[in-house]
Amino acid sequence: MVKNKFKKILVIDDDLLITKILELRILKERGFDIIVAADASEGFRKAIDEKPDVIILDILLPKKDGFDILSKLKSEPATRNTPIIISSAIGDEEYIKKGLALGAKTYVVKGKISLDALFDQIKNVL
Amino acid sequence: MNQFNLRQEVKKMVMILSGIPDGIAVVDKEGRIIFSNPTAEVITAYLGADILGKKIDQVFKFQCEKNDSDVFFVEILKGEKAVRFGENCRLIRNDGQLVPLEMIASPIYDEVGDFHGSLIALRDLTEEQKIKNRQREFLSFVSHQLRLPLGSFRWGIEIMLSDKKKLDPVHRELMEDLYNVVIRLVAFVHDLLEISRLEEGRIELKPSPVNIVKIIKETFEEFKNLATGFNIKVSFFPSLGKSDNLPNIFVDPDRFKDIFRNLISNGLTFNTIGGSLIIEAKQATSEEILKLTRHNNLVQGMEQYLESVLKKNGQDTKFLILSIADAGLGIPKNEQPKIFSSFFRARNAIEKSTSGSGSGLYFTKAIVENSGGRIFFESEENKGTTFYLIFPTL
Repeated sequence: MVKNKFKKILVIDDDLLITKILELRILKERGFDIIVAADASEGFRKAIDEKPDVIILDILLPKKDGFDILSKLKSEPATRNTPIIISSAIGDEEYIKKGLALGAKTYVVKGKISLDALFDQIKNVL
Repeated sequence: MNQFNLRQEVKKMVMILSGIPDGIAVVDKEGRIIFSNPTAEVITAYLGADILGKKIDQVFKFQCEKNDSDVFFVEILKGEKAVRFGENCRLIRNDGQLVPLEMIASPIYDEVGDFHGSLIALRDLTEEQKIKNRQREFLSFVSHQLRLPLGSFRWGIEIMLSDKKKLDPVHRELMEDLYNVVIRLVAFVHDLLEISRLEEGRIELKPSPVNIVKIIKETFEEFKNLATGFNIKVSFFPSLGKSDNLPNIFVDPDRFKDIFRNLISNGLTFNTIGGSLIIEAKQATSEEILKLTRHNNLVQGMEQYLESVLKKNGQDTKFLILSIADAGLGIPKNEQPKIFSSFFRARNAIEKSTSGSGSGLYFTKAIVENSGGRIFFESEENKGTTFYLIFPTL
């Protein structure tokens, strides 16, 4: 298997159950690989080092929130063009607007859409 | 009783009025303040001597989100009935501070029924609003805490259900039932959050001129299968024939769809198998609306509403009456006054369908009113319910 043929998804989320579920789901997808980061700084580092094809980003993270890392990723040349999908438990209009204004491709409210629909979104932004 | 006598009457009552913990002010029929108690002075940040003799609208200036206090002050001077004001408004005190305040004015008549002035009760709502805010914060916190694990449940169960071979039929059925429960809980939490957002005034409406015929037909498409399943005959605007010739109204199209999603869903769910659902619309003048609502005890404040719309949009403003009539369960008489409360579900509605959070009509009413409309209904148990929506036309 040639590793670099795989599309890499970086999941930045401190909820271990969510990351486990996403990992299980990705196992079913052909040609996808998953990397997990549990906080903002680890997420940022892995975004630079691993060069993922898409980032799934939570907003409520320990220490720094997801919006901080989103702006940072968008101002960094290496990650500026990496599509970012926000996946958060908060569905407030203000949050969604802010996320999209900061450059996220799309905003998903956890639980509101199905896992398959989330994967459709991922494929859409790739 | 002449004006002098009103002063005399008030003088006799000074000890009583002064002791009332709410703010009290008395105005004469020209709207000049002739008495205020100490609480009224604290609320307005005026010294008693500075209030006396001033016109009521000089002392009570409001900062409001939508409505304005002019209609209220005009009503006070008319002296025809008790009037209330203050929702979504804050009083600009003499020292510039803002206070949430409710004013209730009751006309004072003499023995022969002549109007002499008004007694105005002032209620500082600061503490009440603090408690409400705490409730809202709690509601919002709990809902967010619930949404996170529910998201994991949903996606987790989807993974288990996605591999058909791994579950035996019994476990699979159980898992599907659990999945439906989770989906219902997700919808309930969504409703909770929407209600708390609505109460905090955080739902932004984006109104535009809307052709309701088109929007209602589009919304109904989502319920086509449900209607077919219950064998319910749905008629759209029978009086219009094939035309969609109705004046536009100025509402947020997405929120308007939400309103009709709720009303159509209720109209189908609480209908009888083989029943009917009639959606109708017509133009009406304010007098025609008053005639329609005159004998409906549950409709309150319609006259003031119509008056304020005419004042704002012009005296020749026409209205659109939309109605959606089902031939279903109807709402039990004793439960009718509660039907627009949050999380209320009528007894017979619970018997018919156990799902539903009881927030639909509460939400619908709030959206309708925030969009400048009104909603009310007529209902008879075992015969059916008709909901009416009223909006000024463009």
